[in-house]
Amino acid sequence: MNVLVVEDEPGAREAIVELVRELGYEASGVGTVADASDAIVRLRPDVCIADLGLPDGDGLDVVRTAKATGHDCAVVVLTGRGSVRSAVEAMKAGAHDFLLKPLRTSQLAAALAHLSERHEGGRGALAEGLPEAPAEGGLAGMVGRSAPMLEVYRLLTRVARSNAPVMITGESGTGKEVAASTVHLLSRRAGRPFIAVNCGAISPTLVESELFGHEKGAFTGADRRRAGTFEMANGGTLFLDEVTEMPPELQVKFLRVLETRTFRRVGGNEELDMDIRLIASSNRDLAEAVRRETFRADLFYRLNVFPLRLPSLRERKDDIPLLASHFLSEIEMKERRGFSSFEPGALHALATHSWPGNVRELKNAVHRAYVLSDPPGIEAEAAEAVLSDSGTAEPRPLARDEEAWPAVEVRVGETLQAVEKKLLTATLLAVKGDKRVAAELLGVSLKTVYNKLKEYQLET
Amino acid sequence: MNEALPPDPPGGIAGALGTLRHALADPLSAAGVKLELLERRLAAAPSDAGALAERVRGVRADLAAAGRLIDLLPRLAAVAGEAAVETSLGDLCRVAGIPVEGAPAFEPRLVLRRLATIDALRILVWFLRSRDPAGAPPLLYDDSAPGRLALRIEAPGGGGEENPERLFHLPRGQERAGDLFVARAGIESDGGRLQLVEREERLVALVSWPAPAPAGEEGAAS
Repeated sequence: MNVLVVEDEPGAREAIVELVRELGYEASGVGTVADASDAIVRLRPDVCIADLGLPDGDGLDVVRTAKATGHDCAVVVLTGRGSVRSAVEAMKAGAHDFLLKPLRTSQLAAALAHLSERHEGGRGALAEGLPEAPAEGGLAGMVGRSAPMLEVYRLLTRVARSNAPVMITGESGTGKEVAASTVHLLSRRAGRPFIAVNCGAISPTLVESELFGHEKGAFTGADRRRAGTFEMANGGTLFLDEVTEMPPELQVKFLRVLETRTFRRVGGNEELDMDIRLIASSNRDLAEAVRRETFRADLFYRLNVFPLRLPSLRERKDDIPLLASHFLSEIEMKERRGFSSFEPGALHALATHSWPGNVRELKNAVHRAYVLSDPPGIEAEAAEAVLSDSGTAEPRPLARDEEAWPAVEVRVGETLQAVEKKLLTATLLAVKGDKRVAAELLGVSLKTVYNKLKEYQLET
Repeated sequence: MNEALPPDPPGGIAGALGTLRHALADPLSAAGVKLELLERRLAAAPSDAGALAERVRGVRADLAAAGRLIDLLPRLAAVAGEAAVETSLGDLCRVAGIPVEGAPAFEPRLVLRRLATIDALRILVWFLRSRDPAGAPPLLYDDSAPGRLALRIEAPGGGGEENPERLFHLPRGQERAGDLFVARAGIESDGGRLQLVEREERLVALVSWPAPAPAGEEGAAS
């Protein structure tokens, strides 16, 4: 891999060039944007490491020049500014990555190693022949071929090649985690871990230890060293689900880690490098959360480098037959009752429903209709029964009106735990899986809902 | 909203701090890379260079510590660049997610940097909680006295800090000292005061600001 270093200070430039060579790559250096433009055309480097402050421009000009030549050169921007703005601007301009000065060898080595994988074909799914362009029915784990989804695939494929943070928004049930995992699968990090963290489910008292890990003896009960989420996800992708639920004090910590790309285990002195691609999601209006000051503006900007909105199922009704068949195949694979299709009336019923709970609701509906039908086809009556049972097309009012919700039968002799599980299951079913609404109705925190789902081993 | 970016700190002290961070980062970065190369050369050299390589490693660690400290400059720049607005401690605590019991100190209007004060309060609560993660969360108390609005933040456990004031002076190896340093800068920028003291084997944060002049006195004083 051929690396061009663009740094105006000769001593620093020579040292970086030498270090890059020590790391096993070919390297050369120039000191201005003009010389960089010339070198990109002449040398056709695979990677440019460009300082943000140059005598005749800045690192972003190098990004633009590289793009203008049409040569596939990844630009890593070096910045000493340390502001959110400079980092976000670099990524939005198309930089592949940015590194904060003072430069740490380990971070430079990690960035170059990833780019080397990309250059040489790497371990990403793209390189292994998996779909770079959307396949017939979808992309990686995503299903659908409607126009809104084709646009989503185009954006996903594009962003997967970079290291830019992605912010996925969309209604509950639209498949935000599936989209995040698709970005991971299509990226050069595909062979590394994909770790999903639900920000609403993190215990405030243990959050630091959960994320950063801890050393033995760091606090009462810490009887051995434990790796945190950042260490477990290192080299891979960290998915922050429901990011607006992140506790305020954690937002501050998180921002610092994003800025410095280093962290320490609780009770530890060793500074560990963070090499993680971040994807966040929310089904809330993030801009509104920033306005209400429940979510930090600087963290929002840092995570929102590449926003991606997933369409609701109402916006892609053309995909309903394809999705329904996909879920039917999935269920049939597990249960093997001999189903292979839908009766036309069943598909019609599914296609005309408005799906406030989106793809997750469709999946549940197909499963329930499967239970109610006899093979080989999902019956129209079963589909209609399931949909009428699931209520009106519009989301139910969030009122504590006892008449508005289905009843749960409880008998004397049942354990409190069994009753709790029953009520939780029924509530989630009634609100189409929306855990936030369920938490509100049950009068508990979102975290408690997640904890109970885990405790009772219910599907999340 | 997607396209908008936060502004860089304005000029004045905030701009100067940002420029200082940038200017310091360059030589620190170059020195670090040069030392890395030197260490690699020495490591590959005959065995008598081992002690020298160890020395170089030590210098690199010193340099890395300095490199971490300059990351405080953008945070100070953010404090310096924020305009103070009229607000109340009750409002700030609510945004910071810190429960208050409606004590008198939380109601009067003060002119404060909102984000800097919210961050400072969060840092203090976080710091005290981290001393005893399994214990009860820290609580806020109204500690006001004539002429001063004051808060006391304390957690039931988590004492044992011999000289807590030392933490504000950025001792090496103290991970949270940087946060506390920025918290104090935020409070003091608005004329406030922040202390960490040990009381009855508990670590207690004391935060105070001059009380606003009662209505009518302000004009008389000017």
